[in-house]
Amino acid sequence: MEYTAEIKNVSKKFGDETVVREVTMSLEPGKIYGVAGRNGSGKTVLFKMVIGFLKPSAGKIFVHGKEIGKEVDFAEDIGIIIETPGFLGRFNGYKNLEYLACIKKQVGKEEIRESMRSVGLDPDSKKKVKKYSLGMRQRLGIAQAIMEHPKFLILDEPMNGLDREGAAKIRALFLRLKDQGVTILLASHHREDIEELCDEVYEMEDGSLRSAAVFNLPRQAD
Amino acid sequence: MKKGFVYDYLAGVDFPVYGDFYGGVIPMIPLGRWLMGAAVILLVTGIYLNRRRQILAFEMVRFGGRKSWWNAQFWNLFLTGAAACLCYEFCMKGLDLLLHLPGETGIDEILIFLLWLVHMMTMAGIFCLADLTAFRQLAPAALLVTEVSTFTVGFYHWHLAKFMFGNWGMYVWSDRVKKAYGFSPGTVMILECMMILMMWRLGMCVVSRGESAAMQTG
Repeated sequence: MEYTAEIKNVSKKFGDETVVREVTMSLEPGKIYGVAGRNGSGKTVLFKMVIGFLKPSAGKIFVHGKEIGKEVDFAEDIGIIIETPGFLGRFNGYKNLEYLACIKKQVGKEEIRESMRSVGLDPDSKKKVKKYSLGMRQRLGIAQAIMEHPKFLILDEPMNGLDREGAAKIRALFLRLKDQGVTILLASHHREDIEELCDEVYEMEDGSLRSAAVFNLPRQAD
Repeated sequence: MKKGFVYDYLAGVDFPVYGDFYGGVIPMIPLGRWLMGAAVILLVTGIYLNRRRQILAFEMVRFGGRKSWWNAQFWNLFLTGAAACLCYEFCMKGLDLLLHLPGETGIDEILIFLLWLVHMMTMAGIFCLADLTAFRQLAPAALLVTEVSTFTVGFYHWHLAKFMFGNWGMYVWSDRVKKAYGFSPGTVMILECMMILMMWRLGMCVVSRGESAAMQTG
């Protein structure tokens, strides 16, 4: 079995404090993995290590078969949201995504517009991002994560600030992506997200993945 | 304002190396004029770095590697900073032309522009490197303090002035003006270009280590 990502005995220390303790996870393609846990439990640090922003103090992480920090600096073919997404406030949503898309030059204008529409944002809106609500920023964050059609999404609290209707729309989007073979690693405080979306659920407490509840229910896009 | 904006704002803080110069008191107004240019460039650099920081995480994963991200960060800043310097210089020149103020001409005018430009870019390069560290918020103030303190050493010990970083962007402290006591403009510009390259190289080492302060915010 070729995994999208493998996390092998990964620990992270900041000084004397151990923030993540010997975490092991294997993520299969086309599945949604949920990590639940209180603030400060180590979820974000774990996600940052999977992306490559932080280096594990011990253990190894492989994404798409390549070891993070050895073979590649950052995980390839991923889309991310870490904490509250930051954007260039002076520009509208489309301009922000266009700026980011220019780096890899993988997608054109129409794909950027389509990713905005898929999260319920108007690509023609002139509204500056600094005037966006938290929910709109979050939607834009999701649009930037999916616009280049990555095979692996790492989403830290993607539903933050979304209303019920918005959250339901995004959940439907994630299920559609899952059906297309995208692997999603998701952290959420909301039980609804975890129960409705995830194939496997882990709970993080004091840096350890204490328990793993598995929901082997087939999920279909709405 | 005798010699025009270009001279007063970009050529540096002049004082005679002998005798009772300014009564031994640092000329505050010329120094203020000089620091205003430095402050403008540090402000532009700060705005640029702050803007990039807002989308740092999204940007970095798209670059794929730390080194390619740093290359883009550093050299884009370099271009932005250079453009800001040229704008500032053109503004000063424009005011001179508008108000029919005299000033240096020919090679001396070019030298004023070049020395100032290279010196400001050196400061911008140091700021960009400092932005990778936990001391990023101290960088602009620390750079201005360095500029003023090294200039002050040169002011009170004029035989050392040509070795002082704070004097290196000042045309009035080049050997075209101060003869034996001034620095060689070519040597200083080469030295400052080497410093810029060193900042870029050091930044490469910092980001290669894996976890800079900039990355932890991502």
